[in-house]
Amino acid sequence: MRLDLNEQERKKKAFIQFLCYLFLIIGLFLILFPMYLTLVTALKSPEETSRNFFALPSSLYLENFNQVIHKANFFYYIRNSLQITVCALLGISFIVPLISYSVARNMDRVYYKLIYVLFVSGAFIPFTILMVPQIKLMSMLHLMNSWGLILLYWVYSLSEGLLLTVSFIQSGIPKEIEEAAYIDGAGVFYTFVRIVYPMMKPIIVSVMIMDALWIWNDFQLPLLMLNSSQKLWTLPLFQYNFQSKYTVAYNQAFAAFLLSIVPIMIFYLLMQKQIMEGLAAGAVKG
Amino acid sequence: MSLQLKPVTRLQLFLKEFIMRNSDRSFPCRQRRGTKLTTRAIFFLFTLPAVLLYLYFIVYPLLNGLYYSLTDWNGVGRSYQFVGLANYYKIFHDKTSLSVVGRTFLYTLLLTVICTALSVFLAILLNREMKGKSVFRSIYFFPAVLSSITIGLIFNQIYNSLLPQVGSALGIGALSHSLLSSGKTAMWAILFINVWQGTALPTVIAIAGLQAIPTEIRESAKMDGASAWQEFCHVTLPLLMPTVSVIIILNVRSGLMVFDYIKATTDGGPGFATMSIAMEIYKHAFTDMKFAYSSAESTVTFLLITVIAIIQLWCSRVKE
Amino acid sequence: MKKKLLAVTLSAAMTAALLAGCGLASTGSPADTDAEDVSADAGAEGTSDTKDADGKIHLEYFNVKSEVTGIYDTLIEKFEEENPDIEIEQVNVPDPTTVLQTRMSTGDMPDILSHWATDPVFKEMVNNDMLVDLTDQDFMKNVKPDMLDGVEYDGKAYCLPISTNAAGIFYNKDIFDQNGLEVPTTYEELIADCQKLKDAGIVPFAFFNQDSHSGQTVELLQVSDIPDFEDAFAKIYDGSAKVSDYEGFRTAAEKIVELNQYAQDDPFGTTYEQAISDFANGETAMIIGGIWMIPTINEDNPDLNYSTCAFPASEGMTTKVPYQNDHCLAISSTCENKEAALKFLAFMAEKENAQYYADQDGSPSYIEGVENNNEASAPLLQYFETGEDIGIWPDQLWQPGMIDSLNSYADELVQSGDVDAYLENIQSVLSGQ
Repeated sequence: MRLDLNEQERKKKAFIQFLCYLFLIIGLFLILFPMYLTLVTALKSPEETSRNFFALPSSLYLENFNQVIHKANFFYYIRNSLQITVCALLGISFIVPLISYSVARNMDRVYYKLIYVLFVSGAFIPFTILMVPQIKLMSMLHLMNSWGLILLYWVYSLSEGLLLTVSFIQSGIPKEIEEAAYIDGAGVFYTFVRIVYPMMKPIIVSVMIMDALWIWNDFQLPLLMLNSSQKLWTLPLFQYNFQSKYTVAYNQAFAAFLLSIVPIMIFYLLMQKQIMEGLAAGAVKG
Repeated sequence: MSLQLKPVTRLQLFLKEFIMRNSDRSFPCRQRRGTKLTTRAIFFLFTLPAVLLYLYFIVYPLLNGLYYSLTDWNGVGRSYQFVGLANYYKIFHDKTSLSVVGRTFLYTLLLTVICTALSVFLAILLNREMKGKSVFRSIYFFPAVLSSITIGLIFNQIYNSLLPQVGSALGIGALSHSLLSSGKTAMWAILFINVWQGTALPTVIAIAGLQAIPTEIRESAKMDGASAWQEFCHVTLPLLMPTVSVIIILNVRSGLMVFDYIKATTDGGPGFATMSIAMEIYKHAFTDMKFAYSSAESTVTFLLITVIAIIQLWCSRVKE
Repeated sequence: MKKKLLAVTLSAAMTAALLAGCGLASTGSPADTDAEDVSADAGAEGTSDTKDADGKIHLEYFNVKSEVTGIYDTLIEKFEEENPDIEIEQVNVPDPTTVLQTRMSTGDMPDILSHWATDPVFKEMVNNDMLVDLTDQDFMKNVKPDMLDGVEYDGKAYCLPISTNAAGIFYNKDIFDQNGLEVPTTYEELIADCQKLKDAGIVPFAFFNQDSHSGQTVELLQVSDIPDFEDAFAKIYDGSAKVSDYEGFRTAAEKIVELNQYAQDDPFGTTYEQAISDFANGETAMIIGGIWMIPTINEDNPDLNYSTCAFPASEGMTTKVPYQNDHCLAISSTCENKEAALKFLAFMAEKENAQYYADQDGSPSYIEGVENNNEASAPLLQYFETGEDIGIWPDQLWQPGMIDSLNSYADELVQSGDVDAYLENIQSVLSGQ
């Protein structure tokens, strides 16, 4: 009798396992299918695609990529995106730790508590309410260009950046080390640069990864700030504008999509774990 | 742990002397370091760049926006008049605006329910012992790192070019037209895109939440004879609530502010069928020359989101 | 290992960006160069043009009319040959009117821009001193005097008008001949023709509803259906009349719903380019539009045997042909190189260049001595010779910003067929609420 029961249980477990796999694989298919289509369509000529949308390409048709890269000057826009992302990140890696150290170590003072509350609550302000007056301000300052955009990214990164770094400092960096430094006569600045900042590396890296992904992929801010001139477009803007030109010849559009996914994919494959942890931590704390 | 510190410059040497001479001779471990003045000054200076940026580029525009919402400025003209709360009155009495708000709310509700349920379910599946767990997780998370505009554009092509081909080949009338060209189906099509990309991050968060539940609790429930479903409802789910509320907040915010997917596909059309709050504010401000009106809409949206956030926080406090 | 990889990648990227970063300043738009004293004084003479590092003056020409990009490429090349110290960059973006309006509201106006001289948005630019007053310029003498006052504001000209347009129906002569159809002279005849075509298995119309064709067609219908529409809009806006006072709004709405029944499959999934391509390749018998489509049709299919006709009014009403200034050039008052910009406008006002434009574009020109050699547009342009039975496009009479909502409501109307809801909606838009 007992043997039968076990067998029943085992069968039941195996069946459930099978169902789980099935469900997951269906989901996998749903996720990968658009990517498959993108890959396949980018490698086909328009005639081939109209014959059969789904089939694998008969040969590697590279003309679409040629058009996108040379005629549409694809790498120019990658360069734009890269410049903006890197400059923004450099600024963030400087401004955020600076202020978070002050705030973290002075939470008993009103001024710093106020800053903390003000900045963190800023995460709740939806972009739409700021977008209109902010754009007006930027145009008045003649900052409707890449540098203005970078400035805005610095500003927008403050809310979440402060939240994460302050909690890291408060829980992750023991005060004793700093105390020791002070006793030895070091000033605040020295302590920060030589001791605290290096210890903040993990959280800074996390924040940078989060912000890098956000800035690289951002569409709304560049749409408002950079759409005036083709020279300024970032990658997302380029894709948006490019696709409007080629509603009929969509193979080229897919080639553009594919090319823009590749850098992110490489980044993802290399830094998968950090990205997952970083984004999850950011979302939870926020 | 002792650290070798060398004063690097003569200035620092001097400062050290100055500090020692002017501060309290007794140096207990927990006392604030150095002269109160110098230290506090430096801490203050550290905050300056960020605070100045924030005040000037966030707080000032926010107040500016509030001010403009009380005028009738069209965004371009030289002159405008102060109209008080007229814009706000208009918002609550304009049929189209109200339908846009209603549509966005419905969209957000559906998005939140579907994404939350789906992500928790997937998290449970992906948390089981099975082969290829990490591969599955990698692929399920992948959509989260892609640009929302790219995803929107890809699906736009799929909806406009691919699905109609499939539909007419299979003889399904409803699919023979682009799903985005009918007011009845367009919003659903966009909702699908949002769910496609929006489930990725919540799933990972839910997995983290599940892993934080100690297995002993679940084991003991099983020992007490609870079935899998009972165990889920009475043990796992309550402990997962904080994580679930985080997921809900994420989805609510992204649903209310949906913009990229719509811009990539229908731009608010056909007619007003896919107009969301964010799209409408953008259009009013930059296309329709209704700058002041859109500022009012933004303010109302802000208040709405704040209220929702407060309700959310209150609910989660109560649950605890 | 991974952290090291990240560090290396980041530093490589940073170095690359920093090295190229010096290029950031020079890849910026003209608007971000330090513009200290922006002269808002229109027509200020003796303003020294600022030259860039390569000794050339750079101008931006923002083009809102996508059909004429190729024409400008050729003309700009010629201009640059004649003026080696000036370089003009033509900017073409998707959705140019929205982008231009954004630039208007952010104060980032392009040096030279094209637009429609009677458009509400253009009026807004004039009212806010955003454009240079061109009245006293020499080249304005090339403009036909009787056409000039149609584009002036308070006796002043703020643009160089290039061409005017007319709208109606394009029809495929071959298809009409094969099916024994004659050019319709009343709306009822048109519908009868459509039915005949449908019965013969031919698609009557190509509609590009994805690109606001519904709104455009409704306006075209209103020109004939509302006899005194020029007053109507003004009265509705100031509150002395309502949409419901004019029967024409209702009939126009009913007609657009009816016409869409003779549309191709999935008109809301069809773009402007796609629809023209469909017509040019003989897949539909007709397309409702204006002579601005001619360059694109000729590009898509140079051998197409087609012509135009006015959109017929209902039996008993007068058929009118809507027109508007199709293309004009203006200089923004924030342009730093006004002399160079004026040179370009003078160049465009020369008979030779205007003739080239007119030949390629097919629209009647404002410039003296330029002949219109386009056969296809002849039936519509007849109406201009007498000056009778023409009316300006309704959207030129609206307030700036109205057109977007009205187009969306027209789309809704075609989707739902609900004429009453449509009329209510346009009442609130047109009255300014």
